[in-house]
Amino acid sequence: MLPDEIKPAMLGIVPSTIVTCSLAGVPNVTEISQVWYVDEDHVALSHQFFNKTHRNVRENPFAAVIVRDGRTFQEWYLEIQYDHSEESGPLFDKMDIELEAIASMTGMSGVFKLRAADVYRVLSVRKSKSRG
Amino acid sequence: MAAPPAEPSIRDQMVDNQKVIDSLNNKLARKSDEVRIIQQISSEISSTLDLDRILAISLDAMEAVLGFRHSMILLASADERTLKVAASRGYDGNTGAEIAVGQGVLGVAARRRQVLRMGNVASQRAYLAGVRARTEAAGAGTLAPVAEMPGLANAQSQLAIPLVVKNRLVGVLGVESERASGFDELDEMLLSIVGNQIATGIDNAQMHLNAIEHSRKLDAVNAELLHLNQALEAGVAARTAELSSALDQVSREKDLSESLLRRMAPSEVIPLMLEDKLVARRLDVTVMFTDIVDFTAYSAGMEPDEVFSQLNDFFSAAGDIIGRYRGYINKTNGDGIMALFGVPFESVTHCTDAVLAALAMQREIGSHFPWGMRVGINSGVVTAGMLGPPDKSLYDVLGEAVNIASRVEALCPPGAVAVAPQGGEVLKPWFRLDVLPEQDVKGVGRLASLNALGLKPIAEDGRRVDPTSQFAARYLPVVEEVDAAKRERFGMIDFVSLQARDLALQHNEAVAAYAVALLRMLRADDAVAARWQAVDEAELMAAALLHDAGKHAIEPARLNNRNLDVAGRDSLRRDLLEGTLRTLAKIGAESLETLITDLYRFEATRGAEGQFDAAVELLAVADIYDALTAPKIYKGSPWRIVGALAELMRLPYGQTGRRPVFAAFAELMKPAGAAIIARAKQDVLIR
Amino acid sequence: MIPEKIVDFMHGGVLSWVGTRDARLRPALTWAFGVRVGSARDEITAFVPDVEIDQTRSNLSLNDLVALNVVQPITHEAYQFKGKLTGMRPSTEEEQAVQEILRAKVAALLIMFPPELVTGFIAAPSTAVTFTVEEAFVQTPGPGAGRPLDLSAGS
Repeated sequence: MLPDEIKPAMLGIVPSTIVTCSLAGVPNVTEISQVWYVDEDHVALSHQFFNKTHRNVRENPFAAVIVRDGRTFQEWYLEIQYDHSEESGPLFDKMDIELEAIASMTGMSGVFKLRAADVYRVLSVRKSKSRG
Repeated sequence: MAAPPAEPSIRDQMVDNQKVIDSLNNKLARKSDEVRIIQQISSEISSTLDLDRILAISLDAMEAVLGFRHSMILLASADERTLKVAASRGYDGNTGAEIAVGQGVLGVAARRRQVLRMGNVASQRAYLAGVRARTEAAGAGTLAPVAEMPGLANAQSQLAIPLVVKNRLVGVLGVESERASGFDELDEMLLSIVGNQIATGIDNAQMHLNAIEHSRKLDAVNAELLHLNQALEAGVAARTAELSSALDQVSREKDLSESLLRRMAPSEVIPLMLEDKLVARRLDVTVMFTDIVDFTAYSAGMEPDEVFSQLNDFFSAAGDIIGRYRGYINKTNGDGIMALFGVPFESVTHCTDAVLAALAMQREIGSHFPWGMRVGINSGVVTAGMLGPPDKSLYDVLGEAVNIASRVEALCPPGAVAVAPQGGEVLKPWFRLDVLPEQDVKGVGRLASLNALGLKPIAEDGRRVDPTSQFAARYLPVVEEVDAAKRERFGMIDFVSLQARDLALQHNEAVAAYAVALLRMLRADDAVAARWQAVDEAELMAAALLHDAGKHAIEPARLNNRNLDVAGRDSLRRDLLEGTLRTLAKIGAESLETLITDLYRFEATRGAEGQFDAAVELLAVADIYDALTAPKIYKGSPWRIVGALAELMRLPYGQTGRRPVFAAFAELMKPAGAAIIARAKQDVLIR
Repeated sequence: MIPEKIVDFMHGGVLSWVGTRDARLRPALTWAFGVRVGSARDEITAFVPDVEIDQTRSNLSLNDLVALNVVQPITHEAYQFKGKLTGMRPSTEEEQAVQEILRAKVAALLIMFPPELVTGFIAAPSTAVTFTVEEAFVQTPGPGAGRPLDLSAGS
């Protein structure tokens, strides 16, 4: 479902935004540093802290994200559904090693630790009309 | 409800397809260019033991050849806890900067010994920096200080390759750029391969430095012992025998190591020298002399520094090539080299090794000089040993054979490889030879040397390919395709030096050509075509070329052993497979693992155990045929073509109806007009 | 009441996002170009460009739950406000002018990016979405994210 053109928007050059919703029906919006491209039908988010986003998707798996191309600033709107978490394996290792590198450069080693790679299924994708 | 989107027109589809094809072609072209480049870089690196030079070569290549403008090499401390910038390009002063292992992209790549490629470093750092500011403001505990990283302040893309040799962290190679996603998978793959070469080069250079350091330490020990001795003499106690022998031994070791290091002897020679194995004796060896034509005229206008630099570059390059063929530069004399093959470490292939080395030298460095290079080769008995005054003795050889080699070289036409005539018998099966005009040679008489033009092409090798066979009539173009594939896809492997170890010259190319030709023949045969359609020709060719690539790690003595028993053969086969799989992994050809492992299994079990893919049978028949027909050191005389084909049919896996491959191969290779007659299972004749 | 410092923050160069959800609890997201905090500091109006408002409008016709996230794009300082919708109407001309002021402030912040980044966003026509603030949180990414803000009077 994800076209090749969306890949530049999933490189963590500029942040993305995610909205989730608790089982009680209250929406929650927050910024995230990167949405990772896993394959044509899956994306992943890094799970580091036990925050509202994390708690929400475990009650109610549906979410939406806006990702942005760091060069053209084209925005894409994705509806996604939480599928599973991985605490080991190639996806986790990739996120982990990159997080370790960045954290070590900002004196935040140990503070920012990857707990899991959360894998989501892509339900729909479209280009945002925010720039026409 | 909107109407469904219109079907893309045929034209649109074609345009899209063409874009994909163009993009793939660009990737392939780039890849083959850069494979050539890797070969060049790694050859330069392995030609020197000077650490600074290795770093310079590596980083110059990063920029000039691979286009990375900012690069650096950091070396690890002995305890592997810190990394220090040893050399860099594209920065204003960086050298000496230190980071901890585990710090930053470079440090983490080192700590985890994993290549790390990131395209969003600046963005992610900015993101976390904001977090850090808030965390600090909120007073949530004490944070580590922000690291000062060497390199570009705004690096967005970084690619770090850990340099590891035998489990030791040697250092890290890093390239970076201010562009986002500046490096791709191809860059990662190329730098990983070059990184291995750099790591080994640095490791060797460091060992070399350690050897020099060791010599200095021996100096110090020597001085101390002398001092102690004097003190003892001054004192009442007599000099003890132990002290005196310790002095002697240290002196000897120090002399040896100094003289060795001064001459940059190859590492294999040093243990032999230290073990006193280089006693004087008579040996059958091959001697090679080279000379640059009119070097004096060539260097007439040059500054002395430049002359020496040119010559030293030449000696480095020549030394590298000679070493690849297990030769040894005995001495240099002005612009000439004297190299020995078969001594001081023995080799049964010394004569062909020397000719192959000479051909490689003419090809790779001979054309560098405007008037060319002369090479003279002769094999014969020499006396070898340590020659010279006691504190300056060098390993050297004497004898008529040496003189003849020198005269042959003097009469060699520039660009050629001249061999004394008595070498002809050994070389004839492999090489195209020309006869040079007879000359009067002082002390020897009339001499008509041979000119070794190159390896005989497979098609002209009557022992392998019968000129009236179907292979010769219809499938010769396959040989060229194999050569092209060899250069373009596997340029990083020196097949000739691999094959020279047991004189299996052109073996890989022959197996590839036979297997692919046979595949095409079977595909054209309606009766069996279906089974062979699924075989991937490119993969088959690659597997044939690489099926014994692990040979470089096997001792030639073991490869050439004529008296291996079953256990010995099994063990050799296992080691060869293991080495081959390791080489496949190194060059990223793991997809061939299964096919090649199955081939070895086929040959070990003679095809008796289990099912085998179509591709395995093609490789097996080609491999066995070439093993029978091509001359090898340990196989005595090769089989005649008809004899070999009959033998193939007689082998257990040729007989069963399940393997029509072998009969088809016989059809492909047999001389025209020969017929296969099978009287009984045991009795197959090709007449 | 929203603390004054944060009100100033919200009127500066910030990016904002509005979250809503439909009858099946599927969340939706759109961006607001400019926000305005009411004088009593207990109500926020977000100016949502019409180009991407459809799903949001549809959601808010079924329930009145709104979440608003406000982020400073350089430092990533961020706050989230949750509350109940009180009104939706087209933005006035004066409000559109406010939007343009915001665009200039954001452009000034993002000076290292090409100007088309900011000028390329289609801010108008837009809809003023007003909601009363019931909860507020610090949303700056990191360990403290999600900490509630004290909204009691006199903060």
